Amino acid sequence: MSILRICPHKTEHIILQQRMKTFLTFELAAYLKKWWFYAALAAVFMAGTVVSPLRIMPSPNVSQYSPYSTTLMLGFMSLVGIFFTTLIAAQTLLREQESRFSQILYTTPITKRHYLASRFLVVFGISTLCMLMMTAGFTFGRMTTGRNIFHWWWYLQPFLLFTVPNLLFCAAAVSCAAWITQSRLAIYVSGLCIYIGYMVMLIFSTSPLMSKGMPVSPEMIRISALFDPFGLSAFFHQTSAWSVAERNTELAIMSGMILWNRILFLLISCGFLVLSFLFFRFSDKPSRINRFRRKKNQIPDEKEHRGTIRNAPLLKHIESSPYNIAYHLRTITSAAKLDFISIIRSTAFVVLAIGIAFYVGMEIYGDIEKGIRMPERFASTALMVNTILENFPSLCLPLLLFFSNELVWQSRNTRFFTIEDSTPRSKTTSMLAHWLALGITVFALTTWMILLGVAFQLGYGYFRIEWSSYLSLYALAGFPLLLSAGLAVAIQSGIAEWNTERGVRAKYASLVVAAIFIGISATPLARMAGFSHPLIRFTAAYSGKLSEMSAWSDYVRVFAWKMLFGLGVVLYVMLLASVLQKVPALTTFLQRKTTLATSLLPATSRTEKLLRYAMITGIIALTVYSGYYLTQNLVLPDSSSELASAVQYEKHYRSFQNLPQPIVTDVVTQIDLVPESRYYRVSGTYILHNKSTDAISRILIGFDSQTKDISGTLTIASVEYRITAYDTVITLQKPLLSSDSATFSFAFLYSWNGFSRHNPMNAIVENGAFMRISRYFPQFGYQADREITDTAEREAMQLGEASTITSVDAPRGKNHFVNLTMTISTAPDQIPIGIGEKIKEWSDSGRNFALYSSAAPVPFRFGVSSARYDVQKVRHKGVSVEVYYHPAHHENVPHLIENARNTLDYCQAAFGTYPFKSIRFAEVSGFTRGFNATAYPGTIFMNETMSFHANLQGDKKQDVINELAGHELSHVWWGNNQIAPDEREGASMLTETLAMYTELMLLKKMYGEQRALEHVRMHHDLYLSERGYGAEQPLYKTLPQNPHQHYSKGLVVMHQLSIVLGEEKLNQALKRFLEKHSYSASNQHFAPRSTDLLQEFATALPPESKELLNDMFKHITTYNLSIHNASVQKIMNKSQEQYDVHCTISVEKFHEDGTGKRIEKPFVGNVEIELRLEDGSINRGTISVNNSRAEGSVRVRSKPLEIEIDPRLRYIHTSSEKILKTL
Amino acid sequence: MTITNHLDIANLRKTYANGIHAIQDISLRLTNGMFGLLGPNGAGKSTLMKTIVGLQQPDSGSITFNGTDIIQDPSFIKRQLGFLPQDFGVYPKASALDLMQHIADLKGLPKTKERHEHIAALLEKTNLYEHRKRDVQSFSGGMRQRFGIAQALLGNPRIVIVDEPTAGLDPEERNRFNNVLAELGEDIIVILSTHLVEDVRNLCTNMAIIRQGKVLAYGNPSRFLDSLHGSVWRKVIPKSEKSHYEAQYNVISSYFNSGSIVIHILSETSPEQGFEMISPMLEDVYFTHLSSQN
Repeated sequence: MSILRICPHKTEHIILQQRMKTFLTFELAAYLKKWWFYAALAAVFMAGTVVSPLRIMPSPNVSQYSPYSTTLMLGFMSLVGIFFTTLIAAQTLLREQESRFSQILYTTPITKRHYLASRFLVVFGISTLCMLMMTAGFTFGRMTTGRNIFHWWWYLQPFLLFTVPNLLFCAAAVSCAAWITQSRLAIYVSGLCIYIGYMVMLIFSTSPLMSKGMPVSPEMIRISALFDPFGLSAFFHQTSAWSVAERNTELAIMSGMILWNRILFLLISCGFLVLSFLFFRFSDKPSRINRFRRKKNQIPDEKEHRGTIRNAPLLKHIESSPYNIAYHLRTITSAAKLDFISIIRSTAFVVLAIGIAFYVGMEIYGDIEKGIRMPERFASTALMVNTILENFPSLCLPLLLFFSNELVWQSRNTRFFTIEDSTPRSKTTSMLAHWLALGITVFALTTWMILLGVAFQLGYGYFRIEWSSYLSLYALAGFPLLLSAGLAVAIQSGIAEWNTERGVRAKYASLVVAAIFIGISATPLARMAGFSHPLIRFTAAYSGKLSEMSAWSDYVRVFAWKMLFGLGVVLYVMLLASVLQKVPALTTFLQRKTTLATSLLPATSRTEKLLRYAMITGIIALTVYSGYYLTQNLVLPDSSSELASAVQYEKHYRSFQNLPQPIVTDVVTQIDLVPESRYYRVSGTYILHNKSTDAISRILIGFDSQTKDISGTLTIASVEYRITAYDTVITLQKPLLSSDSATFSFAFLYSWNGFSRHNPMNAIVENGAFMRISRYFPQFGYQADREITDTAEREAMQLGEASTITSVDAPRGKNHFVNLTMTISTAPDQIPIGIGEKIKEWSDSGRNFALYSSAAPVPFRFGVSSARYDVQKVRHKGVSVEVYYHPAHHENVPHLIENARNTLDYCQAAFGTYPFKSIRFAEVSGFTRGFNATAYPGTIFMNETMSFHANLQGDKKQDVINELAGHELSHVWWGNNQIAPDEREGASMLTETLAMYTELMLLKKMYGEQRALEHVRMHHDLYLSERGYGAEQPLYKTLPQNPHQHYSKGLVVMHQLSIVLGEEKLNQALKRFLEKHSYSASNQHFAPRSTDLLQEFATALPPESKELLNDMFKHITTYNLSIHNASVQKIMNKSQEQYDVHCTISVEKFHEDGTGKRIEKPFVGNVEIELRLEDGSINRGTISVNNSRAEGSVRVRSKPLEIEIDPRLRYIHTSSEKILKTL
Repeated sequence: MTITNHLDIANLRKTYANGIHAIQDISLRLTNGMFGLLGPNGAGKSTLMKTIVGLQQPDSGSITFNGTDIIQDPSFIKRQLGFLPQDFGVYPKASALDLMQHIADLKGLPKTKERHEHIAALLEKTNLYEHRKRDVQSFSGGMRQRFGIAQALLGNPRIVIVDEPTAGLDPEERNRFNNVLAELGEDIIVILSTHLVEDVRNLCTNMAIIRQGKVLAYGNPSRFLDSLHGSVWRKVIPKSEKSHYEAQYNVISSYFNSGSIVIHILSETSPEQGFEMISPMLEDVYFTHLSSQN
């Protein structure tokens, strides 16, 4: 039979289908028949079980096993799909080209459709299988926790809704890149671009995980929800207003933005596949675009006279240089030059460099603009450097991995190794050349980032460029990347030589192994997997921040040691790789043992041999010594001993919680700051009184465990009791009777360095130090804040119930203020800042001194700062307004002074006299964390990285100086030494809510009602977006851990109250409250409660508004407002066009229980309606609503364009889309 | 003064992991001049070449070059070697000049004006000077081979090994290449490993025939030809009678000519009518040894 007769009875269609099936089966067999594939699946499954206990976003009330948290976790895990699809695509899609089989395969009858379809199915199918295994492992891990509540659908639904479509998108994108460009690097680049695009989207979404995810505009949230390729922004959009109960029980549904997002990316995926079909050709040449570019590269022949060289002999004797170190250096530089040229001339590098610049640029932009909540910042060098340091290294790592893989395998892939390996050069020099080329690439990219930062600075008009800060990026980002590159090259080179006969598979295996090691040594992956020792991350970039005031901290010194250690480790790994490179295939090695010994240290001279021994010894010594130094000096957080210490404290001393203890009434202290050496000394004396009615026979005294060199002497009736331990119980020889006094003199020292770590609240730094120093002074009595709060841990330690916060209705507590006298000394070029009144300042023995006194009693809460300040002072109606600032941060000082004056005027007129002779604003280093500004009696400390140095000209809609001055200065009345609530429910309402109210009134006074309303809207949205992550309390019972309640909700509620009551009456109520309940109001010094304030409000309100007051403060009340119908009818009235507007609205009122469960309550009240007319005017009215629904009509003269209900946000509503309608 | 170079291969063996005996007890002694290594595909020629240049290690045996054991010390021969592999690639985005400079660096040639001229001369000799700034990856097959020989001749190699250099080249390119090889002279060892008999015939003063890892014949081509003198006969036969003649005579080769088959037989005596005695060619020697092994 002729070999040309094949299946004569079958139709062509069936034949084609069978060919595709055969082709697909063959492709799948490349994976399914290999043992290592199943091993890889098992490893992926294990990885899923390992990460199953993790929670991305700790929230006390949203369970990590809830559908919300599960979807979040699985959604982020689907990012790993980028890695799977990229790797599998790189292995699968260009096999023909790499194995040179293309000319045979492409000349078979297989059609383009079947070829592309079967290859795509392999990439998508295998990736999905891998992610399915990971999800299965994750699910299995969750199942085995023994939780009662487990639903399969909570794991399967996110997999189907997010993971699978995400994989489809990634597979389509990388496949399209592969088939159009026929380039493996394009596959890697496309994978990285997907990741970059996703991260950029997250910046602009409402992701609670992004530190820059401060509230952005609703439009931006919608855009990112639509265009996020992984759908997570759409998920955040759908769930942003969910309550705790909903997060714990509900799954996201395929509706709204999630639906549109999934449809969009399904279409984009199909688009990629269509593009692939259109541009792919059965050819081993790249597509037309690349070919065009190649033609441009051809240089026309030169016509030079070459007479001399034409007649030159073929063989020419040229004396070779000796094969010594100089030769090896030359081969390294020669190879590195070729490597570097191949990197930077590659399209992939250009695309990646642009991609990195785009991403980092977006981050810089986000850091400058800060969304709608935060003010625009100056485009300072510190901001650029910090943003680059935070983002650039992690983006550069995949680039280095991919290029290192290309370089290590390039010689073999291009088959140039047959020539190179026949020269005397050693493979170690080849490895070093790759490292050098990558190092130059890192240098080039770091320079690129610096240029980007400078461009941003110039673009934003901030011309103060600090080159030394930019140059430090080479050390803090560039050097760790260099180490990562070295590690990647060494690992892959070693594996490459060991697997000389398994070229293709070893290439990707070496990439994966290198990626794992780089992931452990350079990223937080090790910590997530439970390896938290800092030495493990020996190629990680510096993670600290640059402060414009205090520059780099002492952590840089630790970093330098870590880099030395990292260098040693990398050189050591290179040494091992070098040994592996000299070892031939195993069987031959066993037979030729002498080859290894003689080839390990080949040297042409004794000197060289000695040099090599010295080098090896040096590498080992460097690694060992630096590692030893770090382990000896690093103070690692010891959570188990901290836990044990807390348990011991509670078990020993909780009995003192209800025992009377002496009260500190006077503090005289000297604080000697040595900022240049990062320490301070404190000495002082307390005067104590027994203010209880009982005698005190046992006293508990505690020093803070972070302090050192502690000493104390308690003197009662000439009897001295010495203290040298951190927690001491003193049994008095004679009890301290009621009203009796005692003295306690003490001393301690606090210091820190990069090895011991610092406390952000106690940041003594070289310039701009700020310490909440009273926290570290010795304390009397039981300190409940030292207790363990985690319920499970308490149960395990048999500790019983934790101390609970005092109920709002509990009997009144008393305030115990102190008379404070503080002498502060500091470096001769710095100014020490304390609280209260500055009595005098002087210099002595090369140090600057200042004496501060409280003049009137103040809470036992004081702070100090010290810096090289510039000062501006202004007298305003008898009060000295002083600003102490970093010389480069002068821009906002005049505006701050103006706002301070306005605030003083407003608050004095509304609430009462300012109790001090001066008000001090002092800027502190960004090294201290956790606050924008913090107010103490007479002094407000302001963080340099927050509002103080905001660019008010850049975004005139956010005058944060106005907010800051209003808010912080008003704490003089609401907090500090006037209204000083004790620690109980609702305390923050009396301080922060009232400060927010004052801030709002000052904003309204300066910028008008409309601007104030925008501010209210922002806080309204903030409150709604943050309330869903924890249990909620009514405002009058707000707890300190729920700032969104007393800040944002408080501001909204006070705004609503001011509409009902009027600003003037409200201020009068506040003034009465102040007069009755401030510290100085009575000798008893009872602490005020939130119910006291509500009483004043109730007194001011008409009786019919009492329920409204309860809804605002005593219940968690939300509303649903909707416009059901709105119609316009044009009528002619006396030859004039007029319009009748008729609308039907509904209002639903709910009382919530704090977990999101709500009960509807009848609504009776007025709702404002606003019409925006064509002539630009606004028509406002009210509709009285009874029984939730109402109708209303109005006649207007101009054509109405829009109708809005509740334009002034008198009600907290969750229905923002239904309250505005276009007519 | 001419230095006589020696390459001594003794009892060399190499077996791959899949069980294939690539080299089986090969012993050869080479000195200055062109040496042809002739054998069919899969004979072990490339394996032998790669072993000599240090790209792989043998299982047993020894190779010395000018008295130095180059299995122990491969770098000794690499410092004096020019190697044109059978199948080589080049780095992308690298011009001919860049790669020549790079290989010159790897060979330890100092960066001097002399080196620069030498590179230019080699490119000129191989007709690549006009294309010196082009990416080598864009070269045609012939140009790439010429680049290969140019880089092999860099420096002062005492031994040049070219592995299947003319495979895949058109007749004009092959001619050009052979002209270059012929210029190499008698002062160095040149090993030409090929399956093309005419290249060995045209260029080599010594040769060996290798098959299935074994040396079948080793010596001067002229001596081989003399040994077959008067024993080679030729006849044109119909296609259908080929098997009859193969059964009856020692047919050493057959080929088509204008649609008919021409057979060469080995016979000490005159065969039947129709045969004519011919002067033996090297192909006859080659096929005689191959068929005798069969």
